[in-house]
Amino acid sequence: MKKRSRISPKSVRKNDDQEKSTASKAFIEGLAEIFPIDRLLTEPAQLIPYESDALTAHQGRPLAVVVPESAEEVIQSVRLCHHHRIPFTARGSGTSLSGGAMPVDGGLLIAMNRLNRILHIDPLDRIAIVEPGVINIAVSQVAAQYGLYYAPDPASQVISTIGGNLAFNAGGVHCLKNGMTSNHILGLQVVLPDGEVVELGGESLESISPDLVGLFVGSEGLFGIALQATLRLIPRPESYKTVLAAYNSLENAGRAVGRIIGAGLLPGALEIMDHLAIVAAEAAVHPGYPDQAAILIVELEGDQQQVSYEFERLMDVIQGSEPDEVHIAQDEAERLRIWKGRKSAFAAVGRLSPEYLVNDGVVPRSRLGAALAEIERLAQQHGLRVANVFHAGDGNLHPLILFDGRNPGELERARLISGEILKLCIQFGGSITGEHGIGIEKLDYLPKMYNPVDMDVMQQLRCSIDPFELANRGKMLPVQAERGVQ
Amino acid sequence: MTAEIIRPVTLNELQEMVSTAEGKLLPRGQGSKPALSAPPEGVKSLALDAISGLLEYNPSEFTFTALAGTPVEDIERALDEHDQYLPFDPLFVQAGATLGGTVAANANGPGRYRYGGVRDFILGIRYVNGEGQTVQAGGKVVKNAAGFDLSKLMVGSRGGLAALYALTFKVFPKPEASITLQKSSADFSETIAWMQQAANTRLEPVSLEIAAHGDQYTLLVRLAGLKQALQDRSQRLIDTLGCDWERTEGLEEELLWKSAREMEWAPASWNLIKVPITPSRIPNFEMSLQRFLENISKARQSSVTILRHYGAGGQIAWLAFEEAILPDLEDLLISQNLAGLSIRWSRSQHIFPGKLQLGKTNGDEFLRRVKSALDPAFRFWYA
Repeated sequence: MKKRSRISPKSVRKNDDQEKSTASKAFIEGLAEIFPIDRLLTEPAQLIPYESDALTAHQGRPLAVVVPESAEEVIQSVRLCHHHRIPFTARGSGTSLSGGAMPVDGGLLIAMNRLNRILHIDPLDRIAIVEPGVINIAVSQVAAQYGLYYAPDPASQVISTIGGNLAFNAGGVHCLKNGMTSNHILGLQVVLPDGEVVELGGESLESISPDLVGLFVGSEGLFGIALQATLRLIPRPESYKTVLAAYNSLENAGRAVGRIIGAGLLPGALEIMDHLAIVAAEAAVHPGYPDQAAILIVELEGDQQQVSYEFERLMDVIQGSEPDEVHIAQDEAERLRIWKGRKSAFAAVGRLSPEYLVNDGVVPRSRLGAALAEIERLAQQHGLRVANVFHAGDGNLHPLILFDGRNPGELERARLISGEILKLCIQFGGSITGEHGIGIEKLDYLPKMYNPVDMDVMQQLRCSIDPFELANRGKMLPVQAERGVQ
Repeated sequence: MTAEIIRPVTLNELQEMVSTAEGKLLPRGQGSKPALSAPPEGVKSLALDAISGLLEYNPSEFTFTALAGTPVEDIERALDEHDQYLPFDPLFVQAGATLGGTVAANANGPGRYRYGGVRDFILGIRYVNGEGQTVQAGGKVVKNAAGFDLSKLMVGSRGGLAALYALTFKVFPKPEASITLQKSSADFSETIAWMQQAANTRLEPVSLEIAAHGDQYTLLVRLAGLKQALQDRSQRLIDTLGCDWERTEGLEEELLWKSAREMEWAPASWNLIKVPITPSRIPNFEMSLQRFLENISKARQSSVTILRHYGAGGQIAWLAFEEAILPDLEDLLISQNLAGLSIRWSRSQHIFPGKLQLGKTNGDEFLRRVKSALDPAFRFWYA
């Protein structure tokens, strides 16, 4: 549930009293020609629910919110924005953890949820053609009848939309083997920031030209809005074997991961949760987690024979890692219960603390131990608790920095810890974001990861496609005008 | 006609040469995909084969970084020592394919069916742009959502956007063993039906290919993984699909796929075209090809042959032929809403070199804007 307790002093809002200028009036009138009154929201009370996404410490006040029901309405909205030079943001379910769906102050918010049709499923070609407002999990639910599924499984998948997933290249717990959203998008129909509609990619897995779809996915809304996506479907694994191993230290859990990988196994998922995260998850959804320092969840997937032999090898490795407890999921219900705990971890820590910041850095897997030790040291140094949940197989950390904003200075200390973690990830040769994207949250850190030449190339690319910087302005890259560039 | 060749040996030379050379440039590796390395009149060849070497390899991280001109063969040898590999089976490795050329050509082999292609394993790049600057994108870790994904953009870019300098890739553990089952038929629709059945078993083959030579169609199914499980799995496949499968294992099986990755079924002097396609379109395409061959043979009063190979479970069609029929073939592809990329041209072409891209691909307008940002002076030639 979004927290609306207080406006943070560091929020991006410019003025609380907005005088609608003549230009804005003309813009709203233009919108009124596209949308009926019930799908064009302009009253402050109507706009409040859209002001923030899952990065609740920041809000933006849009000029208006529109709720299109067709691609044509989206296109017309973008064209109107271009004509009036009004920035715009597309929003799915608003679950972005980096501020990606937060509206631009004085801009247009385009709520995409009603473009929610699954247009076509082709089980032979293994594709699904969907509108961007389709909920992630709905694709797999419909594909199931053909023995297929849509692999990218961010923890938000029961609410988040395909459009949001592809704007930010959403990940999930199965990225090591299956990749991220980008690896499962074959084609897109997109409206560019100037209103031009283009087709990218196609229906084949193969292509003979530069990977424009790959460039668009993860571009954080800066290249326009996807109106339609062709998704890759893959066969559902016949068999899963899910094992939960508990350890008396994070180090031991981490070492087990190294051994599993070293044994030549490629599990579908490898996740670790520390004690604080375990306690939170247990209190929230009762998955039956052992009360230990760390748990490791390993999941094998594939055909029955392959998995059964791999499982033997896995158990040898796990037993050799000296766990305190080992639980093997006996059936699908148990398997889902184990995952429920992990997938609700973020929400679960909300019970331990009124607020938290979640980090999304990546370090090379061999540096996980060192990174966790440093995070612990930072937590102690600044007097805050940090719960750790992470994708051990790919080095993607999710330290959850717990704080109470009512206590003076705690938000600042939380931000400090977060910043130090990001710097650490860069130092270790990793990344500042594994799957949540830059959004507004990590704007200041992208230039720490890439040098001025690299940043300049990204700016030039952005401006070539969107000279007026209207598309999701303020996210991922600073606006040129603010940088003093003409 | 021979193009002028510029051949830098170091990064500094590469930067210097790119920024000072006059006219347009077309990067190339070893030329294992000759049509992609053949610059048109007036365009200089930028040979990157001397920019070679494995820079970093962390087996425990499952990543490596290598210079663009590094022969894939060298990389695969290094990976093999740690029981790791590139699952997408890069092509023309014996012919000297480089890592950069593999990326620029999006040269995926049979293994791409199970785990994906170049785009699914590339993590980061450093490239030299038209101004001679070195630009970095992506990173060295397997998960990274920071910044624009220029690494993916470069896949299939054919040297038209930049000169690739260094590339970081993800790798997988090599399967312990593999087994291949083959079955032939004179009936194409029967072979396609088997392919679908094989795809729909839950056995997750790593490769699924149809070779179409003359009147024979052969389905090849490759299973890979733990040695212990292979016999059970292959038996299960046979039980599902019926009998008369030829089994190949061991060294012979390895060589079979090595040969497939070299496209040895296609004579080296013939045209070779890559056509992205989907399984549902293959029956119609095959029929149209038959008709096309009948008509064109009649018109030429001599028998025209096109060898076909349908790869990656029906996601790609490879066409090999000797005669100078590119324009007619392009018409056929366009009528089928398909496009093709020339990998090799035969010397029989009336106009040599032939046409690089047959038909149209999506996204031209978007690509134009991307290129104008990344290569504003249009230093790199793109067809």
